[in-house]
Amino acid sequence: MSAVIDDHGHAKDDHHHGDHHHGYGGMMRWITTTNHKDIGTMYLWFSFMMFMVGGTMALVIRAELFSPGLQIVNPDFFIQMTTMHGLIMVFGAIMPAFVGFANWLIPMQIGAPDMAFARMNNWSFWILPFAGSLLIMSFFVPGGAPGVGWTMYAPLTVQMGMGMDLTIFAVHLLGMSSIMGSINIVTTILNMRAPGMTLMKMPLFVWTWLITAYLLIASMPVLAGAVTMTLTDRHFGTSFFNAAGGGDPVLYQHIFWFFGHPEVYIIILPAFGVVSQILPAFSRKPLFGYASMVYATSSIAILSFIVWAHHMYTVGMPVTGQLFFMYATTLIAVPTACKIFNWLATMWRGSLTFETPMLFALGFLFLFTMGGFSGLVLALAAVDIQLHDTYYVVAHFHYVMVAGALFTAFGGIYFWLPKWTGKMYNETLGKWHFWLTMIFFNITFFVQHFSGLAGMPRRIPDYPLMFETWNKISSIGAFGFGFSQLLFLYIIVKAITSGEKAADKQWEGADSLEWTHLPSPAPYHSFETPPAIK
Amino acid sequence: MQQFSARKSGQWALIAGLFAIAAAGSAHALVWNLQPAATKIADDIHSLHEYVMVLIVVIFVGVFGVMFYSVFAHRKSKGHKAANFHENTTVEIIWTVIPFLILVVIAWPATRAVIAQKDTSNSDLTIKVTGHQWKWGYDYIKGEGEGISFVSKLSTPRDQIEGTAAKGENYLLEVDNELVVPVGKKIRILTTAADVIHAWGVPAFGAKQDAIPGFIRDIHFKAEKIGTFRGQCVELCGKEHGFMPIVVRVVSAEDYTKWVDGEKKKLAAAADDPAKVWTLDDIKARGEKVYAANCVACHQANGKGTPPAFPPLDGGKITIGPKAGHIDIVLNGKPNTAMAAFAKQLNDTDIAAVVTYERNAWGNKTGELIQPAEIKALRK
Amino acid sequence: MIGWSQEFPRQQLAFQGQGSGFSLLLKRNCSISPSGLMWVYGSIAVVTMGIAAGFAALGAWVILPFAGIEILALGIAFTLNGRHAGDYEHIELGEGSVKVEVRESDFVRYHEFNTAWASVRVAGKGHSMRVFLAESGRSLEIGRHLPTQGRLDLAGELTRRLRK
Repeated sequence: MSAVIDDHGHAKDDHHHGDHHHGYGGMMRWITTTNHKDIGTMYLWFSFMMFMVGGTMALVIRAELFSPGLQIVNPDFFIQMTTMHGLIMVFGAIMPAFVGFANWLIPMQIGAPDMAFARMNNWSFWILPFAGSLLIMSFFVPGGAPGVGWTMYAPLTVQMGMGMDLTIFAVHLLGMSSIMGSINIVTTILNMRAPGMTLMKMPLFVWTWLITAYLLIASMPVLAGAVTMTLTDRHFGTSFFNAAGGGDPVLYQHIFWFFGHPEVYIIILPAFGVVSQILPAFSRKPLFGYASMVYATSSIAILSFIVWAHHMYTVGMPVTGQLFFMYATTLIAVPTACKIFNWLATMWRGSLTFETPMLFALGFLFLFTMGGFSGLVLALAAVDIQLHDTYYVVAHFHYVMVAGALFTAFGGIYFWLPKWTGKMYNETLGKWHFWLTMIFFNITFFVQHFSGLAGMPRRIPDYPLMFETWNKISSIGAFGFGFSQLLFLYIIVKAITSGEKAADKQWEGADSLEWTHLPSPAPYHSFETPPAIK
Repeated sequence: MQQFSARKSGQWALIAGLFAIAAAGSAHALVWNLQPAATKIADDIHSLHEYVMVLIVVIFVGVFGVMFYSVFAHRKSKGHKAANFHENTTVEIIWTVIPFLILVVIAWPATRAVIAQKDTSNSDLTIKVTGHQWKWGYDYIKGEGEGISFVSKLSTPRDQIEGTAAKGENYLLEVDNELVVPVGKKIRILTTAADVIHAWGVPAFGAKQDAIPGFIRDIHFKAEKIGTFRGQCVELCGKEHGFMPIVVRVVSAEDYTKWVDGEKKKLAAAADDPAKVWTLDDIKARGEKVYAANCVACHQANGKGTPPAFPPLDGGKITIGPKAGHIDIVLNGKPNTAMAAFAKQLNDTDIAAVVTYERNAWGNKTGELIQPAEIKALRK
Repeated sequence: MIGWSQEFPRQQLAFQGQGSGFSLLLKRNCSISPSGLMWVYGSIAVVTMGIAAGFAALGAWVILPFAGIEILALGIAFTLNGRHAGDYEHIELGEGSVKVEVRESDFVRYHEFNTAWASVRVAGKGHSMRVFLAESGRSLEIGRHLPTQGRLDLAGELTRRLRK
């Protein structure tokens, strides 16, 4: 005999009202929370705050570069701005944004109740505000923030003041947070999938994060080591990167980029995942070539460990080294192209609509491909020697980082906001936000290809007259780009406070578990019982 | 979702605006491409770049042709019904192989260019380039002109940078001593640095090489045109990174010989006699010039510096303390700071002059006069 | 949307057995086997330590301790998570007794309660609610692998059958 127990009325009530906050209210709720949804939300808001701080720094840079000559800031402060803009955007804005997505979505997409280590999840978030404050504090110590570029090349780092030490400490904390996050994500994905959710049935976003977490675990100790050696070279008389003491400054670059190149994919792979969720939803058609997408992502991850020296073609490598890294780098174009073709095939003969998330995904597809093209140009060692450390490189990595990561982050937020909050954003304003962002982004960065080709070096506060027009256009674009993001803030706040109620399956074509199995907003505790996956 | 078609026109207006802005930009005489090549290698780089750009444009049209066709033809508002295919191994193999083949096509010219760029053998002239914060040192070490050695600094006046004077044509791209090389000769450049990593490069030559402290790396170029070619330091090297240009004057073989002769004579004439005994006013006047050329960027004209990175000299512990300490820091620098060792950059007279100047300028009134002979004695 | 609670797939507690008795096996949901987890761990450890060792050979030995600490942390995390992968509770209601077999990491314990004396107690509220099977002087927490709702269901069903 078998019996099935029915719902008890009181039990259901309990489920809905739930003791969400475990006895705490207000601020303490957020400090003590171990709920993946709360933590995801905090990651996203933190990332947005850092995005605003880093963006303001970018505007200081662009204001100074509006005209040749020194007008607003001195060269010292200018370089501090470029350094901190880079560090804050990479480690403070983009990475936490995607960890935020991971927290919100991975448990819901694999049918798990929460992350594997809920308490550690709380810690890995709360490290971030301390790290962010340290970075900002470095402006206020004697000597100011380090002016060494986000890559922190030795031996310039040795000349910096106390700000450098604060930055090193901040990088350590950020690394620690990332590692804890990655351990959590790997364990969650491997061990907490609902019965029937085999690896090859996982949504692509989950796959990209599994691979990303693997990359993070493999590459983070390298960064930690690099900055620690910088620290001991500065204060404890070691000579890892000091030629006078038998070290090698170029070793630092090898170490940094051995971390740095996987880092680029750590940033972009989750973005690929987000796009792979959005495009099928608005094409009303399943993702084309799911398996090949997984393989392509894995090959990109593996290749990312053997291409690092393409950032260093001008250090004077032997010709064989130059050629090896050139071939390996161009090889990345193959899986990347594969992914782009798969996305196009997903759209092909679909039934397309163009809500804001879809617009951002298409914007990503277009601009990321452009960034890929300039990447191909830069991969060719001979051409790169001409373009190394010029604005061409600046244009290239903003096309892949901003158009790649930021656009997808926007797209993802618009896409999942209805699920997260149960409220809809204003579609008209969302489209305005997309078009303003898209147009001003291109005004800002497309012209930088030209100044770069003509030889304008990066990280200079003042420039020869031939670059003036491009810089003026770029600065105008940057201010437009920056202020357009205030519209984003308005749209989100408005949606949360007074948005229309969202449907449980807001997007007709969405097919992952959070859309098919959960109401909107997703309940505070979801999938305590694993769903059945067919 | 359905409102989209109604808003289409508005969005098209925005796209049109984008192109209008782009078109407005092109109305100016602008630099659109790599600088005109003056060497065979730069020329190779140009062709390689153009070749790849053509491929990129073709791929661009192909890929986005498909995307935009799909965006226009397969939209729901037109009533297009979604198909349900999601796999096709043949297609996937094809579009993995095609990019690979394209790469193979690019690889051949790309490899040739790298090999040509890296071949520094059989050079006619070897010049060592030393990066300093923030100027370039040039030593002709082999070939015609051997022994010539000078330092090359930005010559754009400070008031142009600060905007109180009109900017000249070669703003930020002009130096006091240009590197002079003969046309049609293979020049091997050895790079190194005294403090941090710099990068020496001239876009028109297709040459760029990091200058790494403690290591020597080499590149080469063979200019095929007479003229003046300009570049900038391209590796972040501290606060004045944007202000250390590179200017190379390519001259005919005869002019080069003439220049070498003139330079040698100048060197002989300018050689200061370290035994000369100076008066305080004379040596202070000379010291002020040396200060303006070497020290002012950090320690400022008023001697106040920009603490804490660049300490003040006016009333500074070292500048009014014992002179031995003062001379030592100028000669040997201070490790792990931007304070460079000037022992190799300045001669005894200049060092004596600048130390004397610093000890008697602004509020410093030590009244001490340091003679070049004292410096000579202190050199290790 | 009222319909959600119906569409929401619920884990069904199947009380199998004859007559008034039942046999219930409650396990954690683990989607990877301990050996699978070991393989993943091995691959991450080899790659990470390999990279660190390579750099150590080039003179940058500082990376090695960081890699070591990290791999250790990952190991601890996997162990904590994996050693409980095989945990289960086997609850069997037979004639006159409730037998509970509990496996926790490497230990298996057997408990037996007399149906005449045993009762079900519920402590706590909401998500911190716990269910105990109690007899004079001793009690055992049961249903730890179940979600809140499941625990309530178990408590209800067990109570009903014990009273029969």
